[in-house]
Formats: sequence, C-alpha cells, structure tokens
Amino acid sequence: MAAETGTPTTLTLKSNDDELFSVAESAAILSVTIRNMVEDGCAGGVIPLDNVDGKTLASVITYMNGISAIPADEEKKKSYRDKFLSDKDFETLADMVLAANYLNMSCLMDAVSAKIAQVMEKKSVGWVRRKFGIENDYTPEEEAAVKEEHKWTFEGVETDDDN
Amino acid sequence: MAKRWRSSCSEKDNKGLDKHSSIDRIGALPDDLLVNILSLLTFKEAIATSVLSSRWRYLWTFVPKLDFDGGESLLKVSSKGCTKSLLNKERSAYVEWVDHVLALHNNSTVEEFRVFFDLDKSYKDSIGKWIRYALARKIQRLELNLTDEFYGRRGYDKYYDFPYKLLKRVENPIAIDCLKSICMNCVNVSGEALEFFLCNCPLLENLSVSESGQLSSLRIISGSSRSLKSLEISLCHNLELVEIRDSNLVCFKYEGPRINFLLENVPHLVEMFIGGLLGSKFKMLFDFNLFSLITPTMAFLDILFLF
Repeated sequence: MAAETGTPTTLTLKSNDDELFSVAESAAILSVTIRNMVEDGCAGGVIPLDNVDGKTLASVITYMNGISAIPADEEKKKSYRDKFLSDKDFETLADMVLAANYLNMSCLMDAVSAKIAQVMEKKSVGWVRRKFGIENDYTPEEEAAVKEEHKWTFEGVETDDDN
Repeated sequence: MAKRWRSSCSEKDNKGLDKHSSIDRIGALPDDLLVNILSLLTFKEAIATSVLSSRWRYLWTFVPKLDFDGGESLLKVSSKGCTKSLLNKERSAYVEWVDHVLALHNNSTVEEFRVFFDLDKSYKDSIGKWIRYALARKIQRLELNLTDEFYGRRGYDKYYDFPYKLLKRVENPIAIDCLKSICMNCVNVSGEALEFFLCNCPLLENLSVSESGQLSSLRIISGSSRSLKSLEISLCHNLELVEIRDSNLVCFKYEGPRINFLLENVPHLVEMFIGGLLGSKFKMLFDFNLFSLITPTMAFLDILFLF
C-alpha cells in the first residue's frame, strides 16, 4: 500500500505487447484487479496485464489519472467520463470494455457500456450491422422467422435509419 | 443457434483481431458484457437485436430487466376511432407478447419487472402467472401499471385483484426478500397484501399505490421494513386510515378523499404532500385537529405541501 509519508508509490504496469507504464498507485487501484495484487504484496516489480494491449492500457491510465484527480463529486466525475469517451471510436470502446472487465473497474465498464448502448439506440438492424461489422449469417427464411417470432417487438421499435 | 452462456472471455478471443471496422468487434465481446450492454437499451430494442445474427439471437434472454412497455399500443388505443374490439385485440397481442417473451427468458434473476398496459381482471390468469415468474426470481423492482387512462375508465370492479394468496402460499415460498420497490396502478391490492410485503421485504424502500379499490387501511407499524423511505398513495377511494408508527419514512405523499392519518415516531419524515380533489370542488381535505396532534412527531419536517 501507499507509504504513510513521503512520495506517493508508483507502480509499473506491462501491457501484453510489452509496453511499460508508470502510474501512481492511488490511481491504479481504481482497478480492483490491481488493488488485489497490491494488497497481496504482488505488486513489487512489474505488474503484467496479459489481456490489455499498450494502446488500450495508455487510454485506461489516462482515465485512471483523470478520474482520481477529481474529488468526490459524482457530477464532475460523470462529466469527465463523458468527455473522455466522446472522441473514442467503436474499436477503442470495444477494447476498453474488455480491459475494464479484466481490470475490474466497474465505473469505466458502466460508462463504456452505456456509450456503446447509446450508439445502438434507435438504429435500424442494417445500420447496427454495418457500424459494428456484424455479419448476418441468417438465411432470408431464418431472418424472416426471427422477425415473425418477435412481431410485436419489432412493431414498437423506432429506428432513425432503415437502410 | 444453441443457447450458450460463456461466463468469461478467453484470451484467445482478444488476440489476433485486426483493427478494421469490417471485423466484427462487438461480436468479439463475451456474452456477459454484451448482455450488460443490452440491459442499457429499452427492453424492446434489446429483443430486436435477436435479428442481427445467430450470435445475437438469444443474448437478450439473459437481460435481467423486463420492461413490458405497451406505450405505442396504448397510443393506438387512445385514438378517437378505437373500438372495444380493437382494444381487445391490442390487449390479446400484448398478453401474447409477454407470455412469449417469458417463455424464452433465461435469467434466474429478474431485477426489474414492469407491466404497462390497459388490462382488466379478465386477464387475471396471465397476469398472475407473470407475477409468479417475477417473484420467483429475486425481483428488486415490481411495477404493475394496468392503466385505464387511455381507452376509458373501468371502475374498481373491473380492476385486476392482486393475488394476495399467492404471497402466503406456504408450500411454495416466494423469494420476495430482495424487493426494493413496488408500484401498482389500477390494481386492487389490499392493505393486508401491502402489509405482508412490508413485513417480509426488509429492503423495501419505495411503495406506491394508486387507484386500488381494495385498500381500506394501511398500517405501517413495528415489524415493517425499516428501509421504507417513500410512501405514495393516491386515488384509493375506499381508504379510511393510514397509520405510520416507528418508521424511518422520509417522504409521504397522499392524494385523495379525506381520511384519518395517524403518525407517531416518524423522525426522518422531511417531505409530506397531502392533497385531494373531489368532484368539481377543490377543497382542503384535511383534519386540522388531527394534524395538530401529529405535528410534534414531525419536528424535522422540511416540506409540507397541502394542495
């Protein structure tokens, strides 16, 4: 744990593509996975994070530093999260939700999930498939059967783009 | 597609994916993360994702929030030309929809269960089945809004009677101890049933009942949920008495005809709204003598709104 006095403890994190990052322990322990390692005394040297690549880890660390610098004010934290995610493309969001899950950071995970859901809201099936690169593996008959199965549901779903 | 539930992402799923947008990035996420995302959409939108691809077909069945919002259909019902037979057709379609979704739903936990449609007591078998489904799955928030504001008023005798017996069934105890919020509108729920919830749901924070014809008295006394923060009762015209003793209640709203209130040792009550409208006349429906008796117990009251 952080020293009682003196300079704050710094941890070294290693991504799965061997990039090294220094981060203040006080920010890094937003990750329950890292916090547990610190508490178990396994954080002495380099902490390997096998499921996170360097690009994503750099982003997560920016988030950790940014959010931990904000005092306990949920409004300000939320507005930081919104701003932090506003310029992220979908690929980055998908990598971040995986990283947040692996690092056990519920606040980041919830925010990224909400952002992805926001992208999907009120969009047509075709739009979502194109946006996310989802390959439609239904035959036309199967797709018609699924739509028929949920007839009432589809009646009520409004979409912005039906192409 | 077989229904499959992967609880975590294997390392293999993460590696070797290139960055092109034509690659199915969202499909690379494990099921539990996708379900988490789906539960942030409206329930209908979540179900609609079943048509994206076979991978998505049954993902929505794990969403723990079941919000059967019949809003769009209710708008059709409220239009001028709506006939009784069209209403009944919409009702049957709604009931079929809920039945169908519950037959496919796959999660052993239901955090939220919401019914919002114009349904009368003739659908009691289906509604009873839905309530049993929800109550058997550690439900946290239950809302039964069987509204009659869209097509036309039905009257208490046509309202669905809440199946109190269901709660008391000893041979099949129902796991209601996770309930945090109960809201009912146009449901004949009795004081006995509400008191049963209050005594058996230690986490119950919010109780809201409107337009129940069976509510004649409600007693929130020792043994009731200590978590109860908000109580709202409106337009229950057979109600005569609300008694609240030794409670941590913070907010109490009442709207309706003149009744007797008895409040004692409710030290956290800071918001109280009392109002009522009978017939065409607006009038204060409050017994001021009784009010003066109860004020000493409400020393911390911040808001008292009489309307």
